[in-house]
Amino acid sequence: MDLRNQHSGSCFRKARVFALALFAVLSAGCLDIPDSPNQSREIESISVYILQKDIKDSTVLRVHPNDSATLKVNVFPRQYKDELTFEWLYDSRVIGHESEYDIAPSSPANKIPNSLRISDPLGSQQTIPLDIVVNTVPRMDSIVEPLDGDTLYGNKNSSFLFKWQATDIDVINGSDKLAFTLVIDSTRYSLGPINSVRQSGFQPGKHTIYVVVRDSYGDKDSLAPQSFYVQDTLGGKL
Amino acid sequence: MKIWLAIFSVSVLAFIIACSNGDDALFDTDDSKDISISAKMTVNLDSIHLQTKSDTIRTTDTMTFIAEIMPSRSIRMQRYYWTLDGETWAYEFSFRNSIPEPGHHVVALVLIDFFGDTLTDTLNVWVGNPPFLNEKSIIPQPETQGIPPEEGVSFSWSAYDPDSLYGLHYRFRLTSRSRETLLDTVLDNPYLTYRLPLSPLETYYWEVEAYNEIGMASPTSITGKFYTKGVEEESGINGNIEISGNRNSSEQVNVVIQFQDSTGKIAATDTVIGYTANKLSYTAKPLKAGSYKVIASIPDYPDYKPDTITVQLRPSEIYTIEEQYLIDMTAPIVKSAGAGSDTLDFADTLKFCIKDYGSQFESISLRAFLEDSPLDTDVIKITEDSMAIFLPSSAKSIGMRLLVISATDPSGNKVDKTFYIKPTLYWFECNNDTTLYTNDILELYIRDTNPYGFEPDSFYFDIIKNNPVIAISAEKSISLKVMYTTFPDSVNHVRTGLRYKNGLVQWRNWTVNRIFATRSKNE
Repeated sequence: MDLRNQHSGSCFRKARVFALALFAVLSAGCLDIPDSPNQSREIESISVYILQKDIKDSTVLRVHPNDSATLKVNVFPRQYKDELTFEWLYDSRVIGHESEYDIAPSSPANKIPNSLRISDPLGSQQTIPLDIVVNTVPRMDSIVEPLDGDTLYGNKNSSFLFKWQATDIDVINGSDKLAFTLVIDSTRYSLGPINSVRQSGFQPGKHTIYVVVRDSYGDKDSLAPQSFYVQDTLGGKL
Repeated sequence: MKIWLAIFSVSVLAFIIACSNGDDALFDTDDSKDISISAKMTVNLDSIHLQTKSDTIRTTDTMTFIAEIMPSRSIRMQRYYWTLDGETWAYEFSFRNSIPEPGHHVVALVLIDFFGDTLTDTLNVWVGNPPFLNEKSIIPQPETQGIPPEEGVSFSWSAYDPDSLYGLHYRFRLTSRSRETLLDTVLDNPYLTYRLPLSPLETYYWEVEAYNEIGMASPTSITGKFYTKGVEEESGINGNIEISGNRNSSEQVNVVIQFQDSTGKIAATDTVIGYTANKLSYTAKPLKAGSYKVIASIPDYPDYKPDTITVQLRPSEIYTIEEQYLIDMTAPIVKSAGAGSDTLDFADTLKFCIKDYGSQFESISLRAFLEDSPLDTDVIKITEDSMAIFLPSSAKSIGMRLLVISATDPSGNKVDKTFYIKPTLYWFECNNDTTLYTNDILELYIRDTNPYGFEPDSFYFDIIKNNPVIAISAEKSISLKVMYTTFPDSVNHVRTGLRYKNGLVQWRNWTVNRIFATRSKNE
């Protein structure tokens, strides 16, 4: 027995084991093995918004009754949306099954959903209440006083009447309020529901006026600016 | 060896016991002291200003933050610091700093004592900026005329909140010209319609102040004034009259305001009670539209010059006369109660009449001076409309004395009236007032009687009108005779005088009255 050779053979085996181990370690490090996949498939958020005339509205679910609108659902993470089923409900009755719901112009109330039920493949369900506001846009009818092109007689301190009219069916129904902004010569006056004021301080000459009406849901309307003229007459009536 | 080791051990033990006070090493609860801290803040670092635990400040305000540590700041501690909203802010006991970010902030004082215990105290600070009111963007504009009294009136204003953090509310007040409050309310919106009926041809004031949620008021307020429309195109005038005078002696006066139309006719007359040194406001209504001269006067006090202003009154308008002035610019009149002359004989009591046509006599301030020296009040007696001055014998003089009476009315008009008191001590004797008949001969004489031994130099006779003074040198006395023709007038003013060698001169005045002979018709 060649002890020297035996010793030499043993060293060789040890070196080979070490080399294999080193290779295994380096291989493991270079392979960049991904982490184990996250098994949680939790949907973080679901929101509903309205698309009407290409305008998104997600804060107040507001539709104008004379225009068509589409109710849409945002799901995050969005890749799970296809795995979900949607049921648009009016009270407990299902009126739609798609991920979008079209509201036709002048739809009756029972054709506008007031909740959305969402189900996942495992049978879990979530119901989102919907409070869709059918809001009529206010309409600025006219400025009654002064009429376009009127001449008002008086001096700088004379008070002139400014009066206007606007309509909103929702206001008649008691479900909405109007607020007016009077703009005279670029000066804005916030007047809330006041629809007539008396104002003075006008120099002789041409002046412009327009009124913006806005309802409590932010819908607004105004007419084109009108003109009136002030003529200072010493004996003129106030 | 063991013995030596035992002795050494015992010695070391004895040394340790000797060097340490065993009792002191024990914890005694009586020796313990509670540590407490308190954080406070103040606007100014003086002892007078209030130190608080919570406050509302502006973003530009600098506050002083003060740490109070009991029993004292010299206690053993590891460290201390201040935090602002949880973030470390300062490392001083007391320091000044501002908090520029609007909102609610918590300032905390943190102290970690020697044993590692943490003590904290907190302050609450609300930081914001006051809202601003836009004084131009308002309805109705100032001085608006012709608001229909029955329709209600709408108001609108606007405010700007630089922080946009806090909601605003507004205090709105509506008052009449007589300062009667019609409405005093707090609003969340910058508009209001007052629907109750107003009085026609009346002036109303409205005022708005803005506040944010932390109670910061707008630096300015909106103040507006408007006028309501008259019935059937009636008009009116709001007048303001300022009456001069002294506030300390303000007195009631009747002010008459006349409204004279373009034809010169007095269309209306108003009498209102006012007070001197005050402003008087009045409203004259209803008046027809047209041109008026508005004449304000105080008939009882003609020293107040009437003030006239012309106004053009439009139908249904209230015209405001910002100011008319009734000013007394005439000083009181001071006269001698006797002969009325400004040259007075010396007398124990001198009486003077004081008149002022712009105030009551009691309102006149009176003083008297003999030459430049003021006379004591105890020698001055004031009764009704006169003033008496008691002259002491010491006031007698060989020369003319000047008595000045100073009278000041409530409007500040002052007169310094000077009276001359004739000399009362004479160093020579001479003729007194004499009456001469035709053919009389008058003996003029001057006799020196001075008690001081002054030597006479010249004796003077100023007897002939428009002629030089006659000067005659003599030692003690002199006399001369003159015919009656020397005195051609019925009243002839004569002066005799004596000049001494030391330069002193004294004169005396007297009068020669001529009685002229009358012829009968038969002659």
